[in-house]
Amino acid sequence: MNSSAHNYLAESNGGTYQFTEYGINFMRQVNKDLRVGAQLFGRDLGDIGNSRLNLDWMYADLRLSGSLRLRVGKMFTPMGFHSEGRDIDLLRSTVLLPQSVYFDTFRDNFAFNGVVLQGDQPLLEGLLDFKLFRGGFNMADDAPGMQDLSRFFGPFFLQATQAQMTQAGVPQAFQPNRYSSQNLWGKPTEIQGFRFVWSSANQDWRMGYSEFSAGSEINGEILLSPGAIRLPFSAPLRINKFSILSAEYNWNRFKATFERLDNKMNLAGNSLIMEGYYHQLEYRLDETKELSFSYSQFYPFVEKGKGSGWAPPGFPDHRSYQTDRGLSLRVDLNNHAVLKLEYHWMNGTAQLREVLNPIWQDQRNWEMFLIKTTIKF
Amino acid sequence: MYWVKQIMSVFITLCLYLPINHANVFVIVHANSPLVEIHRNELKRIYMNRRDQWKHGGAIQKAVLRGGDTHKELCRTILRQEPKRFERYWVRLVFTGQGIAPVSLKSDSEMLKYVSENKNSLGYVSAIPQTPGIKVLKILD
Repeated sequence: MNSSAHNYLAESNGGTYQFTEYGINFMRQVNKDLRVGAQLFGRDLGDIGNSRLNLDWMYADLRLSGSLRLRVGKMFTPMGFHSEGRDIDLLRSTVLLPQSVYFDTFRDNFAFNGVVLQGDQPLLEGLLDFKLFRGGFNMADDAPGMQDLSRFFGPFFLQATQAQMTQAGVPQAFQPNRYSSQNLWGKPTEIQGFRFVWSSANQDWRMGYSEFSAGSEINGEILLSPGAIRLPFSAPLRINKFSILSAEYNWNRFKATFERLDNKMNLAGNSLIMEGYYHQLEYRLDETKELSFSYSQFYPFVEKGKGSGWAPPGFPDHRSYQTDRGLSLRVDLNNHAVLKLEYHWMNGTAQLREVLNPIWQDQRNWEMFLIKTTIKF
Repeated sequence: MYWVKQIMSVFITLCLYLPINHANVFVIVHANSPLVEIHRNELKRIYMNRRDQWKHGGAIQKAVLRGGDTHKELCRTILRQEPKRFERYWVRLVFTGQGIAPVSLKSDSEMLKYVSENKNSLGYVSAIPQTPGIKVLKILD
């Protein structure tokens, strides 16, 4: 991957090959009602993964009756159309899933240990698939998303410190104006949610809604600069409602998809609202080639009632949003190999990671190019 | 005008209930299977992994052809989707651990051999088979 400015997902500015994934899975039908399976998965995406092989999912799946099944183990949170299959590059025409809804840095946080009750029910000449889940929320301290959480509470620490300093008579020029974090770790707590997906009889339409709530406690240190102020903290994090609304329509060689994410959180008493959505239009040129265009918009912080984002203090306004226009070409070289070429025209910097961008470039518009090959056997 | 409408409606109803031959796709099971016909939606549910047990008992051992015109015909006329979409559907099921892939066979002869040797199997071929141990199912629409 190569970006014209900023490091996005990895050290992409100037080009990087740190963008690899590999996985292997096993399934076994133990008897007519019981199935067990596991997948090992490793990836290298900048500082994420570093090619370590991890247990991605592992579960036992028991049929209770008819289509009703109970699954126990480690699984991906069933959210939207793509959460569960997000590692499977072969399923989609694009290299990156729309990052406004499926952020790669928080990918590991979307796995949980618990139970899923699932089944299907005929509805309106179609089929309604449902999944109800409950388990332990994954807030592993080595999950890359953990370090990015500072952006959600850093501004509050910064503003509070600035207010205290102003009250104490410290001139603004001597007050800190940037924040970072270190040693962040989360106390895992519970997650519960559901997903419903309705498919029309001829499979042309798919519509879904998924939602979860979860809680945790974030611990660590906030560093304010200049001045090297260290503030240890421990704050409750509550995801009150993380939801994805999904719709897909297939017509001949076209496929149109829309998904919208809404995330209402509360961190140490501060309400935060995150929003994102994307539209995607895919067209199959022939048996082996697919073209895709997507438009994706993301706001990490939304002001209630205003519907627009705000940038944390010390950052330019384009830190408050990210618009991504993507164009992809997928070529199935044979039954085992896929080649993908992808171009993104970006406006905004809301999804850039501070870890990868220690020196902030004030560049609103930037581009990115990706090439990916996948081998399946 | 009233009678024309009545005749048309009877004709359409009859058409809907008549067994339809899907050109070049013959759905087959083991000769000992009690089935003689299968509804298209039922076939779709089986191939889309919505059903994995025969109503008369036993796990369905479904097989698919690895490509070719017969497979395309099955996908388009019976499953009502493009072969690519069907393939991706199964890739999703397999790689997310939600299903075990159907047995994948190269040719009609492999398919006939597989179905004749497995009593709970289900497959399809391009021509009416002459092989013993095989039964062709009538597909109801």
